[in-house]
Amino acid sequence: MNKLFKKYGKGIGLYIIVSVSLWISIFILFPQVLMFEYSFWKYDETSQEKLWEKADKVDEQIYILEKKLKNEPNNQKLKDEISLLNIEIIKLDKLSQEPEKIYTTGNYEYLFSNTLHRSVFLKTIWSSVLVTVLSLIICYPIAYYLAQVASAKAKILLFIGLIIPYWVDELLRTFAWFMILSYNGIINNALMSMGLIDQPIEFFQNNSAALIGMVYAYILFMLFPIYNTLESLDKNQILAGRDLGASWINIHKKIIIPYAKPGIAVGSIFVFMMTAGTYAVPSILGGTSGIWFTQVIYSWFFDGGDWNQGSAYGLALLVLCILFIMLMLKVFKIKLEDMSK
Amino acid sequence: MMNIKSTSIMNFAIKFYFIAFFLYLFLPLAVVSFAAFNDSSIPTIMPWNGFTMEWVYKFFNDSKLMYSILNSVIIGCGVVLLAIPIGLAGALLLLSLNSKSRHIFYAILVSPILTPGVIIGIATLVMWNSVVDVSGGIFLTIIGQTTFIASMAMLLFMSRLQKIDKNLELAALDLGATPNQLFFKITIPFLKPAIYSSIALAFLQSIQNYNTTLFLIGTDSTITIHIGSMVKLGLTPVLNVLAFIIILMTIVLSTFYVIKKKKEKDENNTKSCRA
Repeated sequence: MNKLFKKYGKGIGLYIIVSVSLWISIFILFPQVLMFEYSFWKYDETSQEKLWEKADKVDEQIYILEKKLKNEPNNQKLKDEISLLNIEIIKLDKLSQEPEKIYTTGNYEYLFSNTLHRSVFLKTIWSSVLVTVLSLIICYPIAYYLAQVASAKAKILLFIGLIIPYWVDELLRTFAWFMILSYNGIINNALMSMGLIDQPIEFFQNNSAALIGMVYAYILFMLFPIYNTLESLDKNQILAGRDLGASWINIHKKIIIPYAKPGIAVGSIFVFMMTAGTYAVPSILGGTSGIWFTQVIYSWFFDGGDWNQGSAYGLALLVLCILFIMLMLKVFKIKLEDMSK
Repeated sequence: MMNIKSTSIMNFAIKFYFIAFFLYLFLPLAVVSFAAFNDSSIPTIMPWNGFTMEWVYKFFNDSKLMYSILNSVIIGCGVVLLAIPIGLAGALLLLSLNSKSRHIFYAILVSPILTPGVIIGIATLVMWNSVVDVSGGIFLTIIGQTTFIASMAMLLFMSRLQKIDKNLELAALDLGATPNQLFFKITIPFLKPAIYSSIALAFLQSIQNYNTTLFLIGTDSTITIHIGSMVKLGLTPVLNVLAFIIILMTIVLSTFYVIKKKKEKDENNTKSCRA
């Protein structure tokens, strides 16, 4: 901290400290803490009814007392009692406007007791793993040849070719597959006109369209990290392996893949996180049956209006991603800080 | 002989794989682009009914779409204005910490990139709604997007700052520069390329964001929200015109970016050779 002030002076030091503390508190931590808190309570729907019943009883009491007051109009004690009861009514009225909060783990229990939601959650995990593995298998050869074999000139061209689809947004790329795979889309049209099928294939009804779309949307997040690590691999290591008579497969197994580990870990983390957390792809390519966990979360917030339940579901997704990150860091034995390389 | 044959088969397989991979990447984009000019009421390229500019014309006269584009630009500018200074502050802080506290702060400041966008949306919405009673709209969208785009900017600044020549800073201090002068005369000019690329990155990320925006935009609309609802509620090739424009913009920007990166790398290489 002192070093900061010494190097940059008071004004800039202050700017750094103020903006980072605001960023950490208001943008990053506090929202997450509040979401965490939200997920552990819900409104007690019965609390309002109880309060209304109570208010009715007090009302009755007032009625009785007022009757009495008519007979003895100078009884100060009665008057005081009535005004006290009136204050209580106002209090009860205020309380009953909002139902009571009760702290509970019920929101989480619901996720695991509701068979539909539980199966969607598990399906999301399983499909995200599948998308991650598929992306890794498809792009490992590309990343390797791009980093180690391609000539400098070819590299630039190939790189431009990779960055273009990488920078076109997820939604448009998904829309492209919508056009290709939809009921009267390009693939169905082509297959039908060739006479290979007589009825269009409904890609959206099974999950195939969503999975194809996800691999397409996130594959480059796997490719670039692997490419980045492999680029710094010394070619002599591979040549040495070859000179010593190692087979092609062994060179990959013993030299290249171990070297690519950090890239594979980072790529897997990104692809898994983006796949598990996407709303765009399943909502466009998922058809009616293929619901994704994010869609369940969305409906808690905007269709069901139960933010507490939605927060619990959101937190479950977040914990899932954190666990996956920890697993990757452990399996590939890398630190979080290696990621930015 | 056998060896040569097997390597040539191998080379052929690799070439084939590369071509297949790039076709896989580009054919969908081509399909989307061509459909913008097909004379058909739904977006398709089969059957091809002839070339038309009708949808381009309709695109520019679609006031709702223009409104969404304007919103996206406003949000993008807001995110740039917030995320760049915050990300820069984060990078400067991290590089002046000792390794122990740096570890912790690094994890916190990078965590938004590793959090699903949906979660950032939810958490931001819950906090602003319950603490200060702000509901979804342009403001909250800017806040939510800034949370993780600032982290991306920070990483760009960090990688640039790690390359700064320490002697340059020492020389400036020796010559009597105040810390303020050091910052504005040495650090900021050195960071210029990173500032430009982080502005481009922040703006692109903001405009293309869907998952976070969806939870924070409320009843308002942006380009991506508009696209999302169009896909569900009724598609016309107007959407393809939009896609075509975005793809075209990306081609220009990415070509420019790659060539510039290459130049920078060459410069660094010649510098290190001289040293």
